[in-house]
Amino acid sequence: MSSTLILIVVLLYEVVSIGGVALYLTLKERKARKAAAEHPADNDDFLTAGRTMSWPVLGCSLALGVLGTVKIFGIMEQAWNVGTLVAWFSIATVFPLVAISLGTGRWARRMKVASMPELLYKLFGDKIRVVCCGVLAMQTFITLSLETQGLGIIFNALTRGTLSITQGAIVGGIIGIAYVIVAGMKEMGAVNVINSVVMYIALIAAALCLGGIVPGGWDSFTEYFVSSGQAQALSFWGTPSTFFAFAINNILALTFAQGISQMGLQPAMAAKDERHIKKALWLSGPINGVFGLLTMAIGMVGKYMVETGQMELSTVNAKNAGAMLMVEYLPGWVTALLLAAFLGAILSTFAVTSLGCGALFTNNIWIAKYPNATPKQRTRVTQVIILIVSVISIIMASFLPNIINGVNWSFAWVAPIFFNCIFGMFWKRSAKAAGITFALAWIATLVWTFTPLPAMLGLKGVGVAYISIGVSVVVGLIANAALPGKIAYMKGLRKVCELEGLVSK
Amino acid sequence: MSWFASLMLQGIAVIAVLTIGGELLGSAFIRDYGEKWRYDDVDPSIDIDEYLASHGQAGKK
Repeated sequence: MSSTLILIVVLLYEVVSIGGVALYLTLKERKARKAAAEHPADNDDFLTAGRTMSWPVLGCSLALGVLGTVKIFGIMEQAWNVGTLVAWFSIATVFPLVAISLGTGRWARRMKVASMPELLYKLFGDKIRVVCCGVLAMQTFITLSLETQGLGIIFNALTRGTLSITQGAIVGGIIGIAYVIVAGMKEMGAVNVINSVVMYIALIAAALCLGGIVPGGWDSFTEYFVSSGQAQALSFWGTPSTFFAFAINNILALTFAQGISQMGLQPAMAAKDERHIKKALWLSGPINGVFGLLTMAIGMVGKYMVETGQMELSTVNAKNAGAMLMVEYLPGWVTALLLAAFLGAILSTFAVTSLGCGALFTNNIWIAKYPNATPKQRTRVTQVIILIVSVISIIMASFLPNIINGVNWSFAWVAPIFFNCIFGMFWKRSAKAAGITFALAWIATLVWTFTPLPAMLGLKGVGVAYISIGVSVVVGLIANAALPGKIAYMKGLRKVCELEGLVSK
Repeated sequence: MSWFASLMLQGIAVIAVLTIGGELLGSAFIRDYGEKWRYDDVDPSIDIDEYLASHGQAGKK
C-alpha cells in the first residue's frame, strides 16, 4: 500500500468515525428533544455529557483520555534512551486509573462539579481555586502542546518526511481544533469506544508482524544489544537505581497528578453514577496499560534498525523512528489501521485537554465576571478558549521538547493538589494550611529544577516528583494539624444527607 | 522465549495484578457508592457550611 493511500485511509477513518458519530448523536438528540420537548443542552452537558456515561464508554474515555502522545511517541522516544524499562511509564498510568476508579473520580462525581477548580472552591474557597486554576491550566496546556507535537509526528510519518514535524503539527492542530469545537464529551466518549476497538485490532496485528520485520528475528535483535554493551536496555526491571529513578518516579508522579488532573477526572465527572466509575477500571486499566508495551517494542525496534543501519532515512531520529518504522516496514493495512487509531487516540487527548483548558477558564474566571451568562454563551466562550489555546499549543509544539520529561515536570506541580484535596475531603478544610502546602511544594519544585541543589546534595537522580510529593505530605500534615479548619467536605455532605432524609435503610 | 514474548508476559502480568487488585480492593473496602447516603439527590448548589450552620450543626473541625 503506498504512503499516499495510507494517508487517505487514515484521514477517511477520522472523518467517518468522528463525523458519523457526531451525526448519529445529533439526530438522536434532536429526536429525543422533539419527543419530550426537553430544554436545550447546557454547558455542563457539553462538558459532562449530562452525567450519563455508562461504564464501557467511561472505561474507554478514561483509558484514552490519559493515553495520547506521551504513551505513543513519548514512549517510543524514551525507549531510545532508557530501553525496555520505559514500559514502566505505561504501567505507571494504570495507578492513577485505579486511583480515579476507587477514589478521586468517585469523589469528584459525588461533589457534582464540572472542573477541578470548582472542586477546589468547594473545599477551600475562591483564592485557592484561582491559584490552582492557573497551575492546572499550565499542566493541561503542557500536555496539549505535547499532544500537538504527537499530531506533528504522525503527519510527518504519513507523508514520509515531506511535512516536517512542525508542519505536521499545524495540520494536526487544525484537525484537532475542528474536532473539539464540533464535539463535546458525549461525542468524544462514543468516538473513543470506536478508537479502542480499532486500536486493539491494529495492535494485535502489529504485534504479530513486528517479529517478522526485524532482520534476523528477535535473536539477532537481542544479540545486537548484548554485543554493543547495551544489554541493560533489554531488561524489563532495569537496575535497582534506574527502577527507582524512572519507574517509581513515574508511578508516583502519575498517580498523584493524573489521579486528580482535569483530564483524568473529566470523564469521571460525566459518569452515570459512582458504581459505573469503579466498574470502568476493568476496561481502562488493561486498555491503557498494555498499549505502551507495544509502543515501547516499536521504539526499541526502531532504535535497533537505525543503529544497525537498516533504516536509513535522513530525517529519522529518536522522536520519529517508531512512526517511520511503521510506515516503512509494517504491511500497509496494519500501518493504516495503527496510525488511524493512534491519530484517533491523540485527537481524543488533544480534545480532552483543550476542553479542559476551556472548562477551567469558563467555569472559574469568565463566569465570575458574567454570572448571568446563558448556557449557550458559556459554551461559545469555552469554544473560543479552545481555539486560542490550541493555536498557542501549535506554536509551542514547534520547539519539540522531550515528551516524557516535559509531562513529568508538569505533573510535579499537580501533586500538591492531590494531597490537599484528600485532606480537605476527609480531614479538615483549611485554606491557610492548603495555601502554605501549595506554596512550599511549588517553591521546592522550582528550586529542585532550576538550581544546582540536587547535585550539591548528591541527589541528581532523585526526580522532582519525589520532592513535590514529600513536601506536600510533610507540610500538609503539619499545617493541617496546627491550623483550624472547617468540617471535612465528605463528612459535611453525609450530615446534609442525614438532615435531608437522604439515607437509605 | 524471545525478548518480545517475555516483555509482553511480564507487562501483562503486572497490569493484571494492578487491575484485579484494584477491583478486589474496591469491592472489599468500598461499600459506599451513594446507596446508603444518596449524594446524587443533594442539591449541588447547597453550601454545606451555611446549610449545617442553619441546622445548628457545628461546621468547624
